[in-house]
Amino acid sequence: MQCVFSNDLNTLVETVAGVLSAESFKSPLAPDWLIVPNQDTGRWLQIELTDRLGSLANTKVTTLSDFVWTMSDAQPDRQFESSLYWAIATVWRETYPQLSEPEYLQQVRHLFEIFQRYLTERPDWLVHPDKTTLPIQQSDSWQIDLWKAIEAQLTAAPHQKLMKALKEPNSERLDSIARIIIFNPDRISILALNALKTWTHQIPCFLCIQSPSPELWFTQGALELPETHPILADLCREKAKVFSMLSDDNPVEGYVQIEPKSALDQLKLQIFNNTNTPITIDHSVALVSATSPTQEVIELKRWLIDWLNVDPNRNLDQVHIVTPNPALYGPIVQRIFHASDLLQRLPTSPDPIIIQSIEVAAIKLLADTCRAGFKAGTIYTFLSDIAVRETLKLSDQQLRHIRDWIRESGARRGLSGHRHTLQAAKKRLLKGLMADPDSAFVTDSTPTESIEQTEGLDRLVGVLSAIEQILFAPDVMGLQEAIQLVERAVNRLTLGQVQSLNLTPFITQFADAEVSKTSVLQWIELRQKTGLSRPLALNDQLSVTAPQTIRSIPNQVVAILGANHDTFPQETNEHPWDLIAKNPRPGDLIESEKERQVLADIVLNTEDQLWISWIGKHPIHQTEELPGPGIVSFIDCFKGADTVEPMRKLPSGITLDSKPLQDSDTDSAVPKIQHTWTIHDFLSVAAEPAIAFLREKGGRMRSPEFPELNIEPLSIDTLNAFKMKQGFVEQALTQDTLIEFLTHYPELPDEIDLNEALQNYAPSLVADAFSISTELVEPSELTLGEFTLQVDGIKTIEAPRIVIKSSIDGVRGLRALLEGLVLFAMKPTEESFRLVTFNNRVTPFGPIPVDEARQLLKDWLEAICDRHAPCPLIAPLALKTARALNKDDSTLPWIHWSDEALAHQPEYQRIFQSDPHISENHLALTKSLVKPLLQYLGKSRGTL
Amino acid sequence: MERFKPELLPGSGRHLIEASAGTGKTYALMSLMMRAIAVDGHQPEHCLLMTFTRASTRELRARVRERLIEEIELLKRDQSELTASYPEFSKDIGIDRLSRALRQIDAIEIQTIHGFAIRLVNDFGPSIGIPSFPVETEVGSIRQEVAIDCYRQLIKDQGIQIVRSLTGGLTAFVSHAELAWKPIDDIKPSQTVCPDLSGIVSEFTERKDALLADIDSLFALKGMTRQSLETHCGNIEKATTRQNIPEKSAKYFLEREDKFTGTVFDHWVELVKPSDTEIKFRAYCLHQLRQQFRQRLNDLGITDNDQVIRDAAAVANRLKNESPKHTLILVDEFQDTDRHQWAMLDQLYPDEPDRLMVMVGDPKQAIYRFRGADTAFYHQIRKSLPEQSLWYLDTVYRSSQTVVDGLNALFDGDYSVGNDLQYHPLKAGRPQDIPPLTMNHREVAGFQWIDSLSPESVVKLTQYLVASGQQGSCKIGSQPITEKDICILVQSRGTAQKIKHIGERFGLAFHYQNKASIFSRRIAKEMVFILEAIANPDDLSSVTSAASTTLMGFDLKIPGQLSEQSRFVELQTELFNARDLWKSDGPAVAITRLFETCLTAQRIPHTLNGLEDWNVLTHCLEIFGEDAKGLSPLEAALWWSQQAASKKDADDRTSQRPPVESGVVTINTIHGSKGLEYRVVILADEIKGKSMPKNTWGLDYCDHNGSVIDLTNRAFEPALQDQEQDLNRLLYVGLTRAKHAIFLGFSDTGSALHRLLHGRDIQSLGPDHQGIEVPSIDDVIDSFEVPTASPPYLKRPRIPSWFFRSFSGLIKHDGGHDIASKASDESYEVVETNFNEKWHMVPGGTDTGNFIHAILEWHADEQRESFALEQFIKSNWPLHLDPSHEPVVHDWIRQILSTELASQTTLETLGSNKKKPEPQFELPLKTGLHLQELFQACEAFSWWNPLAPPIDQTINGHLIGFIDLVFEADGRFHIVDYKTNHLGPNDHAYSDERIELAMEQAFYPIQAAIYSLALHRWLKSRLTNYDPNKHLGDVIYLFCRGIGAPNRGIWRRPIEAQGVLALEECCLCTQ
Repeated sequence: MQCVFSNDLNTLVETVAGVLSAESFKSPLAPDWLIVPNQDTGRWLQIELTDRLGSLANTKVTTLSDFVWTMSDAQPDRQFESSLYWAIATVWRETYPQLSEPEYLQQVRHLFEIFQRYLTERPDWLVHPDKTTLPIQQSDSWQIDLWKAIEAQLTAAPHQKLMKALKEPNSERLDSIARIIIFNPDRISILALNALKTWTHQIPCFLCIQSPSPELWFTQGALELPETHPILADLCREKAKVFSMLSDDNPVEGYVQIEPKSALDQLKLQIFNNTNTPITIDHSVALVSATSPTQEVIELKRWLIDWLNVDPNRNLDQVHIVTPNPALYGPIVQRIFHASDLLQRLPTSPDPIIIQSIEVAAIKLLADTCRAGFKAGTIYTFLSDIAVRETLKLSDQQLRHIRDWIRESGARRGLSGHRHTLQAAKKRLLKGLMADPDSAFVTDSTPTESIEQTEGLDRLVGVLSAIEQILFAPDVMGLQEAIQLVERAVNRLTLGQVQSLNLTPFITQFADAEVSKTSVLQWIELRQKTGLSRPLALNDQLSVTAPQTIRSIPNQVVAILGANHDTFPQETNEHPWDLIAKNPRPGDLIESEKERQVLADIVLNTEDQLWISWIGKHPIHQTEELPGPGIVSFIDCFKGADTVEPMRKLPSGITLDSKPLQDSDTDSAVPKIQHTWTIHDFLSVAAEPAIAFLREKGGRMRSPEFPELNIEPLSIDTLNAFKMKQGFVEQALTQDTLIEFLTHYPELPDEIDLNEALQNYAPSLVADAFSISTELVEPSELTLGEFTLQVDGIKTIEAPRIVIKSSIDGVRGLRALLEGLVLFAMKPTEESFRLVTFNNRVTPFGPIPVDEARQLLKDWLEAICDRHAPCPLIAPLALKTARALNKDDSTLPWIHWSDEALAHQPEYQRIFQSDPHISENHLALTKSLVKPLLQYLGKSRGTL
Repeated sequence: MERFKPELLPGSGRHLIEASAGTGKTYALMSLMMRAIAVDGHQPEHCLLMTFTRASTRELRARVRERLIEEIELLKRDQSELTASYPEFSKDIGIDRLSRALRQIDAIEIQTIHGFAIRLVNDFGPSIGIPSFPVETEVGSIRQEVAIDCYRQLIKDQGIQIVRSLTGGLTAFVSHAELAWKPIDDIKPSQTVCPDLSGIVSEFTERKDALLADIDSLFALKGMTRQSLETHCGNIEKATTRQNIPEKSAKYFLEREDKFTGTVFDHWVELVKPSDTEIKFRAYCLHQLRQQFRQRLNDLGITDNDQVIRDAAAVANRLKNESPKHTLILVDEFQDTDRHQWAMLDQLYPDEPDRLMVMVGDPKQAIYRFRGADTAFYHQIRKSLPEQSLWYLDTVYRSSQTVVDGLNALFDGDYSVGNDLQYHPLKAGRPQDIPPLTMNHREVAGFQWIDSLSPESVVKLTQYLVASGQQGSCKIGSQPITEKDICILVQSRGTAQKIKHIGERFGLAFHYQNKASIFSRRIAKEMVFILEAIANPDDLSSVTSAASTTLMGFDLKIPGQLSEQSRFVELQTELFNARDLWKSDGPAVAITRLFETCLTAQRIPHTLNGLEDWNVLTHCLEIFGEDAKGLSPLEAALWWSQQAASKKDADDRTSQRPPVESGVVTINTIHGSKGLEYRVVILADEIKGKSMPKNTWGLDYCDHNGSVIDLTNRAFEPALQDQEQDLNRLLYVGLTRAKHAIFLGFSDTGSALHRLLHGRDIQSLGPDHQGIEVPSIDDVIDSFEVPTASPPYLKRPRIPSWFFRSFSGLIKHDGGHDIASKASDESYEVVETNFNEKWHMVPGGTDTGNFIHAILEWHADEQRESFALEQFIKSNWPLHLDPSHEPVVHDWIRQILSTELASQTTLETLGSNKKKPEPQFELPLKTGLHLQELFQACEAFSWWNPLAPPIDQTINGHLIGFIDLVFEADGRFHIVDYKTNHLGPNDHAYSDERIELAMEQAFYPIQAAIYSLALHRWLKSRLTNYDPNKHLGDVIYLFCRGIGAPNRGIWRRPIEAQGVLALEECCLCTQ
């Protein structure tokens, strides 16, 4: 094995190219093995080599551990992994029968992971599980017994095979390899190093490693010395271990002297020489303390554009953006970098769409249900999963219906036999109760369609049945039986599209073992584990990836985003049972060290400019925060002799566009005066002018309701209470019919006390108001100057009007007053008009002399008649403002859009928020239109 | 108790430092740490610094770092206090130790108490049988479930009537259950079994009857109206249980309780109060709720913040030799520590000679009573420590002399901040460094008292200060005062809102960090409409709704319906585009594009509100991008509306960030201001308590013994007293935030400030208090300017043009960025007919193709035994195929393997060193090459039939691919590509003509040419003496389904040298 050291990656690539272009004595069919630290580096190396050599073929690119497993032919397969899991699961259950299920599952999972790690990292331990050979404490010796029990149940022994292969290499396999090149590994475990040393006597093998400095900085204890460069000491600890393991060999050294053209180069040179003097920061390093991720990305875009503008030959394939949190920054970069103007756009690669297969989604649903019981929300989440929607061919509309059906069928968590249970919901759905026109899902967009005619129902019922099957099966059963149960359920969930999960071959020797449902689902979930990785875009599109992806790639420009204290490097948790963590060997995987090493590599391999940014202010307390510890060491290197602060602190917030859009001409609209009004038209426009205006425009501002499907309703919430009151008024319910109404209304909780409901929702006075039967007024027409009001279909003045609230100070009260006003304007009367509120109060209104009423009505019509301009009366506040005016005529109430009364009526804000005079206009209208009404409003009392 | 100085503190033992606000608590902690590391030689990894919030852990780490650097510098320059205080201390050793600590700064453990507990449970729990479940902070819905189940259980056990009457129904029960979730262990009375409820009705009736029998003695009492007394007694007479008594009647008796003590009235009062059994029942319910909640969490395999502390205490209790080896333990904010947290620390770190534990706290700043914090516990610990372990800090470094003196004068009364805790006067530490506030060249006193501090006058005062600052007449030192220097502290959010709105009228910009989540803002709610419209762009109503939002910016002034506007069609088209973009490029790009076309960014008004909206919107989109990955537009709308509808308070992530730094005045709550300091503070609220809840089962309070949930009838008094003390502490915290001056108003009775004044007037408080009037000003202040920025421009546009293309990527129309995906061999499924036999009936599709490829690849990889094939097929059987096809596939593969590919060569007989399955290749294409040119170059092959490319485009980049198999026979190298295309139901469908047609339809000849080129380059680089005429063999396409046909399904063409050389010349980069 030949070691090649250089501080320069390009030199190492050149070495690899040289090796590959040299003559090989093996058949061209024998592949060259290129061992790389990760897939992205591998891909990059392939591109580089293709460009340098003119082509690249029959080169196997793989990782070191893969190489070791392949050569020893011991790679544990899925069969083995399954038997390992079940061996652990059964042994553990026997040993600790008293463990609670979640605890048992968690422990089995940990043990499974730990033993998988032993298999790959410490097969020597497993071959001779013995207290004398193992560096083990008394308290951990149970693991030996456990392993012995497990091993007895395993059919294969990859650890033995691997250890054997280390002693007696498989010459046939090794013969099939032309050359082995290991390119800048991030770690070499002792096991892998032994394997390489034993196996590569006959094969040309090259180990190319980047070393930041030719000094012997990695010898024992050198890192601790104060004269070691802080970056070496801080970030290269892992690399030092690798070097110290290799130091016996005679390496080829390809060190390249660095020219200190920029601050970044100066730093590299200092690391190279292992000296440490202050460096003054320049354009090559940008250290930015931002206040939000979006701000970071906005600033980065500016910086990148500046960089690109300097030289037309600069390209985006020389730029890499990395972050410990690609999930957060990926979409932000896409959003900020995207612009339709090509001179503002930096092209990004599309966000990798995560599509898991339908089996994965189905198993997740079953596992969730088993763990936490039946929840309607999880069903909906399952059905709206992309893969599921595609497989079951569900449209958006169908999904919307399904959401409504779930809610209306009352498919919620509940006790067995409860009205809201799964079975009851299923029954309701099957009976097609939802097709009842009264409770049909009335959305604005769809024609009402009976659910029997849609396939959405089959899907939903299918899912409910599958869930039912799983839930009602016993908790413990034979493994074979459990698998069949799960397979049947999955089959149902996917409407037969997934016939079988083909799991039986993996459990042959455990088929009869008694296991819990949840452990079976955990096993299946573990098998399905899919890694989500973001590939590095190696062309001229920008991608946002994890820092590891670029660790062995030389880059012109690198931007590290979100290098915050607790995310980079991240803290890691070792399980207390993990003996590897307790007895580490050089070259073992240590996550947090890995990230430090990545940072060191990025610093060394960035050629032109390096950007590092982090969130430097607490979002709420606004206190300053440091970036990650490694970054802090890096920043310290630039605290030059002068007192220039190396980092740039951005002020809070995201700025606005410098060019606001000018408001279009305000007077463009020609008034459209409506002269003829029906009474209903009048009432709805006058009482809610903004809503009527928007409706006229064809829009609506009420948010669509998306109820929480998981939560059982506990009480009649405000909205439902209102609906009930409304139902009560509109359907004129009596006490008896109310009971029926309640039982047919699955939105309401089962425990609702009918008597209580009657008291709250059907107060006696309101009920009395209904019983006063009155006639409708004679249809007639009222002419008020240029306006005509057609009065038809309203009750006479004798009928009390019910305001579905506890007070009349609101839109509904205003509407009732206006109705009264119309009645008073029709003919003279001595009678007053009575308003009944839901808290059993009666408020008399009027009488108003006819002339006065007519004049007032005319004023109202004049105020609202222009249908092209909204009347600036903020109706929900009108009565409140009028009362304030009554008390003090000089009062100046101000419209606050956050006012409670406006919370559910966003229309007013939408229309008037940018009107600077809205408060004055509202006040003037209230004074002329509403205040006069108020003086006829009597004191409320408690009888009709 | 002694004034704290680091050098006086012994090197071990447990100590408590009482540090008033602004007395340099953190500085003291840092000094201790420096001493411990440099002088006492504690290892960095053995230092533990514990505090309460994550924010302060980060801040502390920064402070530790700063101090380490500073101390090293000081030592180097011989200016360190350490050398002065510790004569035997060696400077060099100190520098060495501190440098090491600086290098290993992340080894110093700086943790929140919860973070520490979680670590402890994770690290040691599983080994001693305490599970380390993930911590779930949002347990509200689980609690609700538990409450419902608990109620159901009670009904089952006790009967519906009695439970309903005792609890008031499910709704009431769930709201009463809130008490159970308070982090207070002590419930008074404690009840673990359900009391006997059978007699509860009869007991009430008996007592009632007895009283009614002697009702005249009640009527004989003087001082109340007989008529109302009769009404209420009548109500009681009608009631069958105590709960039936109308509330107003119960209130009638309870309100007059004190007035008639010692008379018969007492018995009536007793009657309307809950009986002992009822109280016991309540206690039992709370007990049940707690137990069931624990059980539920355990069943779900999760834990919550409270439980994790208890678990950690249990872990600490059971650990013996393995516990963490910290030798220096510093606990910040010790007044907020509770019993369980202390139990954990106490067990983990016993008082040992080589260990120093220092707690720092200020009981006057314990303001978390509302969360159930135990304020008595601090005092108990304080009492348990010997006198020589108690220290105090009383020199204020934060505030000016007049503020400190004013504070002392104000609190110099009968002022209690907690049981047995009194105020001690403070000293100003750096009077010369903190200049006072000057107005019109006159120093003003620390405390400025204003008549009636209404929101209007707060705004006017602020306006006055800012205007005077702008004119230069109001200064701190030589610096004129600006908006940034002022902070308005409020107790309630309502006041904050009012001030903000009134400020708008006066042209003053106020920023108030609302506690509500950013998703509850109007602008965020509008996004729901837009997402809905992207999900349903064909639904007119959804589109109109989106159009009516401000984000889409339709002009409402234009007459007619929105849908009649010309932009409407454009919007609808954009929505369709957005839906497509969503699928191809993800939500971020789709939404950005939509915003761009609708000029959303430009529509935002240039005001503070506009700026806030814009910041909120981008912030929401950040969270959306991260959390809503992979959602369809419909799902996204649902996700967003759930966020918008959530009533939960904002967390660190969903709190609004300040949209701007300067030019605005900050409004903060007192709770939110803890730990912060401001130059000038305006206390805009009177500190008043909330009225105690009615209709409750009990109250919680903290007395001498600690926090308790009191269900008895005697809870009110202690709860009220506790609340008063809590308000005093809140007031203290508010008043100690100011550096230079405080403005505050005279208050009403009932407020904490009023009680604090205790009847004193301002004059009697001394020269540091002054009464002023809010000056009215005519000066217009420079209004707030919104920060703006213009987008950066590129000098040249960047259009991506460089791709990796496989064969399938090459012939695809969009020519997109395809990364090494295999050509999909089959585009249609098999229709099963009667003619189907053998492998023809195996369903087609990409999955089947991949399966066959996988088997053949596996087989070619090594020398395989025949039984292994069967095994391989079995264990890799794909989900989509019916297992009944297994023998057919087995036969099929056998047939393929035995097919002769070259003379006397089959896949089966080829030695493994003579074949190579799936070799990868990569070829660099010439820059600017057209696909057309590549097709034309292929004409050099003699067998080439003219073929037109599907689309002509430039193809820059690399060609990549995998060849199914390359083998060597008779010194020549051949290429094999397997195709599982379905050409018909039986062998007849695989005639030469049909295969040729299929080849051309799928552009396979171009694939064959590319593979040939790849083989040529490969051999050129690896084979000594390579000669294309000598070494290149055939390219073979094996149509696997036609293996039974006379031609064995084979399409074979020679790889001719002139062909590959022409291709190489025309297409490839030559280095």
